[in-house]
Amino acid sequence: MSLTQTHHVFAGVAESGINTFLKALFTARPHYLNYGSPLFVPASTVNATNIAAIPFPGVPGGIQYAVSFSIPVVDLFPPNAGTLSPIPPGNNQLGLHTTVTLVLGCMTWSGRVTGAEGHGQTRPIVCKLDVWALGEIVPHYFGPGTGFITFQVDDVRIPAIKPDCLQNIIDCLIRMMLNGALSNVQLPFNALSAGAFKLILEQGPQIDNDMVEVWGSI
Amino acid sequence: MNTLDSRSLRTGDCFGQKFPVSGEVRYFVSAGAELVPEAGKRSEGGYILRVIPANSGSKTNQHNVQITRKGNRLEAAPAELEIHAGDGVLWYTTDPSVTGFHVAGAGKEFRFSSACIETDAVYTHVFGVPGTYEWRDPHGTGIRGSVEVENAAHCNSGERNDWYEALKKPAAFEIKAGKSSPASVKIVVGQTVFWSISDGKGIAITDSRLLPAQPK
Amino acid sequence: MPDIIAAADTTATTDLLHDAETAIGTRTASGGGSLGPFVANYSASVSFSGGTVNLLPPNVIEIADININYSLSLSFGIDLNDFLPSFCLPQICFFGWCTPKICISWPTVTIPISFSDTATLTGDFTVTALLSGPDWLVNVTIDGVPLVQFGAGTAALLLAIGAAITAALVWIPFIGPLLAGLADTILAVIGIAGVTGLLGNIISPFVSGLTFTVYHQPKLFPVLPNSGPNDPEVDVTITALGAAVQATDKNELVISASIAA
Repeated sequence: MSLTQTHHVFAGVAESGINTFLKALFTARPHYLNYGSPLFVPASTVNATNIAAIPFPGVPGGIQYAVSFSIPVVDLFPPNAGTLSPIPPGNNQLGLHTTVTLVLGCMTWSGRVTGAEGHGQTRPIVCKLDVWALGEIVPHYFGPGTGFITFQVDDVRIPAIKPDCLQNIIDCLIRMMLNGALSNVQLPFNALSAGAFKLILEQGPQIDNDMVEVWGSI
Repeated sequence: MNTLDSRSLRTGDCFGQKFPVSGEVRYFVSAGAELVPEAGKRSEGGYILRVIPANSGSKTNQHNVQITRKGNRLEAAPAELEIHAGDGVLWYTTDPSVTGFHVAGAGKEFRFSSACIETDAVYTHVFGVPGTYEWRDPHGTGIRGSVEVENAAHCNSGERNDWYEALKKPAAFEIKAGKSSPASVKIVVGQTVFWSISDGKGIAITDSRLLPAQPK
Repeated sequence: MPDIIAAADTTATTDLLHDAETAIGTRTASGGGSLGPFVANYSASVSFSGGTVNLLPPNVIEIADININYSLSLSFGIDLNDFLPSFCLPQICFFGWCTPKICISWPTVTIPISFSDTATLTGDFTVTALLSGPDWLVNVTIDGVPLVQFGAGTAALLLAIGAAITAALVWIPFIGPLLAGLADTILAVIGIAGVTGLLGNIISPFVSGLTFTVYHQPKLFPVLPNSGPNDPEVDVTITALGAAVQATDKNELVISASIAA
């Protein structure tokens, strides 16, 4: 069976290629993976993104926190042999593995409004969690040779969190944060063919054979 | 090439001047423009023409002088001539490297110039390219005329022979008392036109297209 | 398995080829060559277009009927003394004066010719991937000496030469009566063989080693451009590149790449 099938061109990026693209992207722009409120990230830089503290009545300055992900590693369908993912990818799906580091600025204060004691002390509490995710590729095609693909996370599992209700909260929280972080990942169609041609997308992207595959004409 | 202009003589042009008075005439051959100073004010250089008195009842003769280019100089051959009064001297060139020459000279009682022809002289021109040639005197005397040159495209030897015979017949303008006649002549390519000048006031024969337009 | 695979069938490869022809643009050259017995100087400009593709594994692209669009400015000198009889104007006498017999020396004239036409080229091209300086290229390079067909252009150039000869000679003094047949005589001396020989000499350097580049990317491949002080350019390094023609139910040009962050 030909690569192009009933179309004129084919481009496919293997799982190794996707992971290389992600490594290059997050190495150049680590602020896509590192977020912190002003106590941890006073201002956005190439290394980290400043986010607002969580306002809470009575908590001076709000709840300070930071979230960091390690560079995600993608597993395209079919799943790698011996995968530890509790949610391995099915047809046209991708698996994603990362480590999330949660930092909470644990603050203590006296409760008095005035004086030096009114400001309290903050110490960071760190927790590192293994994150397994399940997702898909979303195309954004605007015309010949233009457009990109993004990654969407549909489900997250962080093993061994108890009770189940806490796991549900953490899973959802991390899924939302991971999707937010991955929304910055836009892999141009041009890169899928290493710049060989300007693709007019007719079919895909499709995940199969450990590849992200697209078909079209030029 | 083949330009109609007696001020600058080339292959196909001749200038002839008769010398009625005996004596020594010094003349000069130059490329193009008038001599500075003029020939009459020069006492050395150039070529010598010795005009000796004519024998009573003798015929007049024509003497030819050929102009060639040697390096960056124009040379006349023969360099020295002895003629009788009444004889004529005809200057011409067949050297394609001569891009134009003018001959002018003077003696004690006589002067002449091919760029300003006065009397007892002739200018000839062979027309090599078809067309209509309006000519006039650039010195402003108003003397003018036209030559219509027809093409002669010949295909067989008979027609070529007829054409060659036609070349032996000249056409002519006579310039006298400030007028030229006839007003126009018609010839074929390769024919010669003569301009005979007698008692002219110093004229040249020049294609009108080489001259500034005259005011109407 | 390579990190990236790109494949193009015959239709897409034809488009890539035509884009590569356009990218070459117009090439120029100048020099001298024989036009029959004459020496001609020329300047030529050539561009390429068209052609139909046939993919042949493992690494050959057969391309038929590539258009070689050429424009020539050429000139050659003719010593008319070699073609015209010697000719002398007879002595003419009038008004008591006689002009001398004047023999005409015919000049050597330069004939300028401008001519444009299209020839066609058919040949086998080998596909090669290579690193050239900082860039990866996939080149399609002609094998050996291709067949160039000039078609009716040869006769057309001969006609153009004839017209140019007549135009250049008509203003030579005294030539009018001798001009008829002169252009034909000169053309007969040049002949179709002379024109074909000159055209071949002019076009050959343009097609010898003819190469079309169907892939050209920097080794340091830009994935995303710089979009602010915190978002620098994102690059990957293409560490290896391969190109081949693969046969399955369709023959395809396949480019494969390995990349590193």
